[in-house]
Amino acid sequence: MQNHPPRWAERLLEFFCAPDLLEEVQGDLYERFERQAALFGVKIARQQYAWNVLSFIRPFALKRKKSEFSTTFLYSPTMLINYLKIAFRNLVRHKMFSSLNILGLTVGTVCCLYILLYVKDQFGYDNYHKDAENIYRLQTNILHNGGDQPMFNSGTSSPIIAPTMKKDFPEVVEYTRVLNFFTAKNNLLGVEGKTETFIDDKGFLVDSTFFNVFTYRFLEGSPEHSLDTPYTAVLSKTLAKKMFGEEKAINKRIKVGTNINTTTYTVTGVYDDSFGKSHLRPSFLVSLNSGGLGEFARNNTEWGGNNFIYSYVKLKPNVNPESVNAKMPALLQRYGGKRIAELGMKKTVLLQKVTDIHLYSKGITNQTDKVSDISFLYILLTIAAFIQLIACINFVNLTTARSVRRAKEVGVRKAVGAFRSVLIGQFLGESMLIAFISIFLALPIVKLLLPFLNSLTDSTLALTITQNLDILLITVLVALATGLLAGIYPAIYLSSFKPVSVLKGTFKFNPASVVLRKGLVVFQFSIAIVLIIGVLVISKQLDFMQNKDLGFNKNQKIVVSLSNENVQRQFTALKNELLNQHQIKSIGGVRYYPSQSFLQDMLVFKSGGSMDKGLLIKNNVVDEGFFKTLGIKLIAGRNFTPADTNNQVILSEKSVRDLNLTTETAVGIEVFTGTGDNIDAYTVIGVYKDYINNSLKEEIKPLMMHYSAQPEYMVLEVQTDNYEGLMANVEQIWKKLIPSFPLQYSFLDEEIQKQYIEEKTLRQIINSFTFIAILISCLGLFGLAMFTAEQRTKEIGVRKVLGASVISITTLLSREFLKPVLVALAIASPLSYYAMNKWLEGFVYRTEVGWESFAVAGIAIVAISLFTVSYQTLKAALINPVTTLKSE
Amino acid sequence: MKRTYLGEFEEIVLLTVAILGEGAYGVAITDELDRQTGRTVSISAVHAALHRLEEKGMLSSFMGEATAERGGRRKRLFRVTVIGSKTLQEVRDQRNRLWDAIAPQTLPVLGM
Repeated sequence: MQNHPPRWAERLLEFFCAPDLLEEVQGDLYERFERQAALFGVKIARQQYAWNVLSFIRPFALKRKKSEFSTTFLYSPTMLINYLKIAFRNLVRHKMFSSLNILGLTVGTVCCLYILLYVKDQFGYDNYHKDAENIYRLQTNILHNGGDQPMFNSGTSSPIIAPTMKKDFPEVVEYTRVLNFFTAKNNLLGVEGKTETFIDDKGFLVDSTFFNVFTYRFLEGSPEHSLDTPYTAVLSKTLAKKMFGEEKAINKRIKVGTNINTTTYTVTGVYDDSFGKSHLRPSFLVSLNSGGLGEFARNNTEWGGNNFIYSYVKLKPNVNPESVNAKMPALLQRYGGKRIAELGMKKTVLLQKVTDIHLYSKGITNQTDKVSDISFLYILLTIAAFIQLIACINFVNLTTARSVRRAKEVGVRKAVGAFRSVLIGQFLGESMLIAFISIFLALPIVKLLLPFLNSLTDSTLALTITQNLDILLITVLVALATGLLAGIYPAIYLSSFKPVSVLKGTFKFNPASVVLRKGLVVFQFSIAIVLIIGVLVISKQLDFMQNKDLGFNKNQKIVVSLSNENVQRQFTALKNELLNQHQIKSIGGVRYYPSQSFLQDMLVFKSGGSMDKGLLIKNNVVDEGFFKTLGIKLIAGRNFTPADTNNQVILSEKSVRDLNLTTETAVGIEVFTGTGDNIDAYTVIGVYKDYINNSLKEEIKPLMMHYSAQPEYMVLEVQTDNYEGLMANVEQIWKKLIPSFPLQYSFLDEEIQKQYIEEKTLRQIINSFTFIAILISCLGLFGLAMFTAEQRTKEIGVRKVLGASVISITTLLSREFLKPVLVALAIASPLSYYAMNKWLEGFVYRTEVGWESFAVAGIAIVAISLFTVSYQTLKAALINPVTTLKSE
Repeated sequence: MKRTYLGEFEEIVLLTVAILGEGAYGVAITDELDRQTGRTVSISAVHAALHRLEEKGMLSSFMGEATAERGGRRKRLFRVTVIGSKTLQEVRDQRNRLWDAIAPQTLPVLGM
């Protein structure tokens, strides 16, 4: 039996009893315990003790009295000033280490802050609409029979669906439909009575109910009934300013020309387009009830196809969208079941929350505007966190490595009565101080670099702390998190020193801390290596795509838009005039030039078949010059001639194969589309070799070429070094023939490159991150090398005296730093191999990761780290041993 | 003059402190109480009373020397202050006056 009071009771007493009473109470209880133990035995005494302790739980013992001695340790201004003073002295005294720490953290913070700004900006789309949580967009998913047909998953739907939903479903309060002007690139705008024209690609035809669903702030006019009458338009502030300057736009008449016709609209309102973030971002809206394409949509009764319009529905508050989703199949079956079966498709229509469109639209095509992706944002955030972590690791390493310098201070502070918690507070405070210094340096740097950073991410962020409390909050949070992350381990480590051993001088490094330091260096360099390999593989894939044979010649091609019927009628005249220019080798006309997506398709079957078993073939329209101009090979049959009509077609190799034909048998046969009496027949006159029209991420799709002498675009094959001169001549000819429209052209190779903008952005972003990660890691390595060289001056002195050469000493010191880097290489290689293989799987045409990426990354990282430490190691090796040894 | 209120237990504790003189501390006071009055009181009750008396200014205290039998802990030693002794005197005088005011043979005689 133990002859001391029960432990738990003692602990309990220490816990609840006021500190000023504790000693006497403990003393009295102990004295009583001893006597009881002597009189009645330990067991009784222990019970008594416990009972006594419990009976002390009463107000007087619980109440804390203000100590008559002020607690100088943590909160008194004197001590706080002392902590600050010591912190600044340390910063100033070790200028090199301080600047390495601050520089690393500043670079990391710049990176982190910008990414947080960017990510924050991507959230909150479409939140500003009244009842935004009840607004949904219809999303159409079509699977063709047989299952091997490409899936159609689009943000658009058939125009009849939304109005029928409102009619049949009591949950649907309102609907509205939004329609792109066809081939949205070429909306030509003008003010009636003026000749100046403007080009704008963000105009929409909308139902008059548009403003009942979406909320816009009007500067002129009001949203109610603004689009009720036919031929009315509402402009954004930006466009109104462009067209009318400072004048009022309301009641003015504007002309909108598409490539079909030109219509005049009356302006009934101007809204503020800088208010709120939206997936629509229209620059102008016109009433759908204005003839032409809008009329086609309004009267459309197709339930299966014609999925070309954006439909939105607003539900009653608190209606679960799933309940509406569940009723959709029955609705489709009731009205369109027969037609959908006829087309051989499985069609589903689902509701997508309007607030989810910007971030959660992966795999949904036909968006109104550039959408982001939540997983991309997560990748960015992860990278930002890693960069900041690398910077924090520098702080941890440099601080713990130099802990011996602070050990005496810790010893003295503890000896005169500092608690460990107070010391932890002090050291954490120091790291917070450095974190805040870095953030104050980082803010102006972010501001300065903003244009460059924005060009990396293709965005228009602004840093206005004074106007935006969130950003201020983010900034402070980043600083606090950084300070805590960087400071917590050093604080715990430094405050753990035993004052006796420190002050006696028997203080030794904890070997575990050295291992941890090496581990952290390995971690830093692993991240850097993963990033390097990432950059190399992405670049390799981009090069591969750049040099991949696309099946046509993309160089020295100029694409000219023939933006409306009037211009298209002039095509032949234009062609003849242009061919007189000796630099222009040939001219081809086309509806969808490479890099554009094919918007038209049809279900094609051979004689004896039917449409529901047909093959979905994309359609393109070309003239007789197209194949020659682009260098696409015809492998069977003949080219188009001006005598051909829409009913003569040239098939691609792929569609011939998918139709179970051969190149030889295909030419001359007929293929069909349509049902019942409404069947169209097409004669195959030739077969061409497949070319890659779209991104290399996609499979080649079966394609069929029709003939037209009035195409939407013409492609010029040119041979010149002087593009400016040539284009000036072309413009002159254009002006002569088509005075009313401006010439619009682009270069085909640039258009093709634009498809890879996402990959290029990714490469640029990872490039910058890699640079930053390496920079910060090297700063840390440099600091550690400096520290080691300082520590080992005596050893090096002795070695030199005993005859070691400069080279052998440099090698000795470098080897220590090379080891963690090599370990990092071993860890990072398989990781990045796996990750990059996954990334490459997203491409149909891809290169492989390849060993040379690893070799290059390995050599680069070893070279960089050797270079980093070489200054310090050489300096240490070259020092005269006399200077280091004489003091002993 | 209205004096500070002094409870019955407090009065006894205060008197015990006076009896013990120089050596008045928690355990000693508890033991003395036991001996003098036969009442078994808990240490915590004594501590609470001492604490209250000190707050009322009737006791003063200081920490004594460390002693081995208490595990090296010091005792808090109590002493009656002037206010304390004045209060005790007043209580006593009041009782005496009350006794004097009782007419002889009023109280039933205990059976002896």
